[in-house]
Amino acid sequence: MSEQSIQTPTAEVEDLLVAEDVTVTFPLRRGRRKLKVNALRGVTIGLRRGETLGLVGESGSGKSTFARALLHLVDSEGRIVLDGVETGELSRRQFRELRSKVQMVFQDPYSSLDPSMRVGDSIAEPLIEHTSLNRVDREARVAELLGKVGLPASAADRYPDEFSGGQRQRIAIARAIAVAPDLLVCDEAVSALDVSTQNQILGLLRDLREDSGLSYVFISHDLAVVRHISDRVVVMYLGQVVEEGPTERVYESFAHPYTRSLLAAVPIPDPVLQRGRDRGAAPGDLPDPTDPPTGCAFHARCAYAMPICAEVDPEPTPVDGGGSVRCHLQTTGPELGGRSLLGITPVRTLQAETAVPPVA
Amino acid sequence: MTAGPVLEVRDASLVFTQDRNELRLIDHVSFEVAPGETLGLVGESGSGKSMTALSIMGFVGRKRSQRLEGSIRFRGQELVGLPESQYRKLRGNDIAMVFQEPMTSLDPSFTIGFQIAEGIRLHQGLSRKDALKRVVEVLDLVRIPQAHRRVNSYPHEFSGGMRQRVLIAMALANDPELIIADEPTTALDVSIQAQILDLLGSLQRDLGLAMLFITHNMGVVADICDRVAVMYAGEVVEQGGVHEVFGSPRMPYTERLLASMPRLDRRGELEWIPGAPPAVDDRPVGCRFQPRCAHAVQACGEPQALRIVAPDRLARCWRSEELELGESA
Repeated sequence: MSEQSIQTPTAEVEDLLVAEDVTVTFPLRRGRRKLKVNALRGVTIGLRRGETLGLVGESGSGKSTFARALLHLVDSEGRIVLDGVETGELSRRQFRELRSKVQMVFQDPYSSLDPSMRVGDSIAEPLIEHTSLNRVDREARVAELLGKVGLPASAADRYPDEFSGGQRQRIAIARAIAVAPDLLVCDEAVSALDVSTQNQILGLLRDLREDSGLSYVFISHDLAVVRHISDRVVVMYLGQVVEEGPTERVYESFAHPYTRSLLAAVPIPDPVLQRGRDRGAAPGDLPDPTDPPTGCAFHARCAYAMPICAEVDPEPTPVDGGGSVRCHLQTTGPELGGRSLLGITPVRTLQAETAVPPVA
Repeated sequence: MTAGPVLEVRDASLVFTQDRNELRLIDHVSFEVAPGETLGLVGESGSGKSMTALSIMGFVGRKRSQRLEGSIRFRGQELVGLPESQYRKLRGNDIAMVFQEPMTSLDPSFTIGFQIAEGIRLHQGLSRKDALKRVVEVLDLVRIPQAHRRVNSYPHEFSGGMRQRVLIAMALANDPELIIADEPTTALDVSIQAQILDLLGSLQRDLGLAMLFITHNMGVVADICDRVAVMYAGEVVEQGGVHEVFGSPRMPYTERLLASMPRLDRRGELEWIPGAPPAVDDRPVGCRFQPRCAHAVQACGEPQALRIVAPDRLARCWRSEELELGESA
C-alpha cells in the first residue's frame, strides 16, 4: 500500500487496462438468511490502447459489475492496472486523480444528467473537478466538446429535457470526454435508442476513437452491435469469463457451448436465413447466483455436458485463432484442443420443454 | 374456416385535442389480420404502433379530448364507439393482450393461480375448482414445469421469462381468437426471448390463433411473422408478406430501416437514416419521410396514399414502382 508502488510498471506498455482475477462479492439478505452473491468470479481481462473490447452476456452475467469494479464504484479483490498504475493500492485521493482517465456512459442519459442544470454546466462539471481552466476557457471547451459530438454551441444554454434521447446521449458523451480520458466505459449506452439513432451514436464513438485514440469497454446485451464495433469480445456467464478472443474468431468459430447458444438465440432480420437456422437457445434460466452449480456454471443448460462438467470448474484454455475458453470439451471429451465447437453435434437436443424449474 | 379477417382496421385515427390543436397519434391506419395469421406491426418509438394496439383494445380514444375515428372491426363487429360494458366482455376473453413488462402486469400480492383464475371465472363463470383446473391446463400449455404446484407461487418467485409465460397463459385462458402482443420479448434476455418466440410460434400454430405482434425488432419479425405492416410518424407506410417486404422493400423508409439493422451474421459498416422522425405536432406536409429520404423530389410534398404497388403489397410512396430499392438481404 505504499505510494512508491504507483511508479512500479506492472503491465506491458501497450496494455491500457489489465484486470486480473477480479472478484466481487455482495452480501444479500433473503428473509432471515444472510447469503453471498459472487457477482464476479476471478475475471481476467486485458485491453490494448486504442482497442474496443465488447463485453457481452445476459442479465446477471456480471458485465455491469465489472464496469463498476473498474471505476471503484464497488469493492473488489484481485488486481486492476490502469495505464501502468495498480489502482487497488491507491488512496481515495490518488484514485480520484486517476479517475479522469476512465469515464463512463450509461444507458439512460436522463439519470446521469441533472435535469435542473443547463447542459453547458453539466459538461463543465468534470472540468472544474479535474482541470484548472478558468470560466472563459471552460465555456470555450464546452462549445468545442458540443461541436465534437455534433451539437450546436447554443445547446449549452438549454436543459436536458429539451433534447431527444439520442441528443441527450451525445451530451453525456461530451461530458464523459471533457477531461480527455483514455478509456470510456459504455454500459448499454445505446440500448434505449431506436436503431437509426443508435447507429448515429456508434458512428460518433468510432469517430472519437479515430480522432483521439480513445479505448472503449463496450458493455451490451446486443450481440449484433458488438460484432460491428469490437476488436475483441468477452463472453460472460454467471460472473465468469467463459470465452474471449478476437471478434471474428468468437463469432465465426465459437468454442464455448454458451457462446453458441447465445449467438443462436439472436434473430437475424432475414426471414429466409432466420427460418432455416439451427436455433439451439439454451433451455431454462440463469442459475441462482447465491448457490452457483458445482463444476462448470453452464453445465445444467449445456447440450454437450459430460459427467466431469458437474464436478470440476474448467480452467481457461487457449483457442486456435486467438483468445481462450473455459470448457472441458477442450481437454476431455471430443478433445477439441482449443479448436471451435463447429462440426460437433450436441449430445442431446435442446427443447424448451426440458427447461429446469426457475429460481424459486 | 370463417370467411374474412379476424381483425379489420380501416382508416383508424386517434386524435388528441390539446388547446384547439389536433394531434393525430395514429393517422388513417389500415390493416387486416386473417385467422391463424401473425401480423407484425413494426416501427420506431413514437411511430404509433402501441397507440394502435391500445386503440384496438379500447383503452384510448374514449374521451372528449381523445377520439377515435375510422373503423376497427373484430369478427365483423364494430369496436369504434362500442360501449365500455360490451368492451369488457371482449377484453381478456376474445381479444387478449400480452405486454412488455411481465412484472408490472402481475399483482405481487396474489398467487399467479388466483390471478389467472380471476379472468376465467369472470368470463366463463366457472366454479373455483374448475377454474383452477383450467389454470393448470394453460400453465402446462405455456410449458411451466410442475404447473399444479406453481399455481400457488407468487410472481416474485418466478424468473422474468417464467413471468412472461404466466402472462401468455393468462391471455390464453379464455381461448381468445386474437392475441395482441406488445413488445412481449423486449425486456427479456436473448435466450429467454428465443424460448418465448418458440412458445408463441407453436401456440399460434397449434391453437390457430390470430396474432398482432408489435415490435421494433426486425429480427423478431423475420422469425415469427407471416405479414408485416411498417409504421412511420403515425401512418402505415408499407405492408406485405414478410418474405416480400424483407426481400424487396417498396418504400424507401422500410429499405433504410432494414439496411440499418446491425446483422449478427456478418460484420460491416453501420448505416443510419439522417435526422430523426418528426414530432407529432411538426409533421411535414406530404410524405412524412420525405425530409430524410434520398429519393425525395418536389412531388413528394403532395399527400401520399397507401396504395397497391404489387399483388398483396401496399406502399405509401408514389415513386415505389420506379425506384430500384436495394435488396436488403
